[in-house]
Amino acid sequence: MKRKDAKLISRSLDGALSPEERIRVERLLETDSGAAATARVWQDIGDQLRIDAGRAPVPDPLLAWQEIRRKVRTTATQPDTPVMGSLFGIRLRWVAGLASVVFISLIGWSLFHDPRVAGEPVVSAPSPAAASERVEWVVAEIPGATTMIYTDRETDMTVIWMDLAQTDDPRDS
Amino acid sequence: MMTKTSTFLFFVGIFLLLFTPSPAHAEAVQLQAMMIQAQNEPAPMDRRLERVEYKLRRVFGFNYYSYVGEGSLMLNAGSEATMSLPRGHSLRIRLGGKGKAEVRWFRDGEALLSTSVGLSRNSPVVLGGVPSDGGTLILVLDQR
Repeated sequence: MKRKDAKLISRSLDGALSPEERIRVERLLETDSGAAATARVWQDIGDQLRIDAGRAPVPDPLLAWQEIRRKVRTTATQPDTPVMGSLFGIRLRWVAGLASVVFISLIGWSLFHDPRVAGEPVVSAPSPAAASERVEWVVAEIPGATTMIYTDRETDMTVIWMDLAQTDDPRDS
Repeated sequence: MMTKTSTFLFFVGIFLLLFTPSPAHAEAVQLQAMMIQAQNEPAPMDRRLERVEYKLRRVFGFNYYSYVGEGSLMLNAGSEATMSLPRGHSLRIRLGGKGKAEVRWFRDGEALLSTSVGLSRNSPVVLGGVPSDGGTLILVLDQR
């Protein structure tokens, strides 16, 4: 059987033929026994398919829509996707680590480099009370001389005065 | 992996904090000493003493102050140098750590006074009491 004849028979079973093509198919089935047998086989197969399709339940549109809504609600209640959650967590850990380093460094700097807190002698900005502690020791190298240490709070000046047993004390004038 | 990175940054910060050298030990210190003669006999007012004369008047009972001379030097911690001053005077200064200095006052090679003081900016140490030329010498030792 020619291919074009098979196509013609297939289209006739589908009902998609023009009047001229229908006449041609009828003449073919009358003259060609093989084509007629093929047409009968194909028609039986098509009938069987229609019967089997009739046994399968047709889905209810309303039920199908409710199933879709149920699936949407179930998906919405699930937690965030792993990708977005891990990115946010990574950024927070970086910031926390860096902030802790800066914070600890600042605390340590203030403790170790503040001379007043560490107990070191005041160098840059001495208080009046601490100025009197600036003199560690004094030795008068001249025999018989005495020394006196005085700190003036107003001027923040520390005076080391050596008295050589002068008869006139200028501070008394 | 993120926890290890934060821990690494933490220890880096601690390391830098502990091993960063203190600025006080690295910088050189400039010391200046001004020699002044204090007396009760009249003397012209010296403009070079404008910065210190009001302080001296507050502390000492002298009526007049005259500028004699000054000297300066740069010292690093642990080093020693001699500052020459007028009338045969000199100061031998040894700079210790933490702003301390040992100062020895000489006149014509003879030691007059020795002391160990803490130095700081804008807070001078005044040595005085040595008679000279009818007055009394005062040394104002200051850190610049």
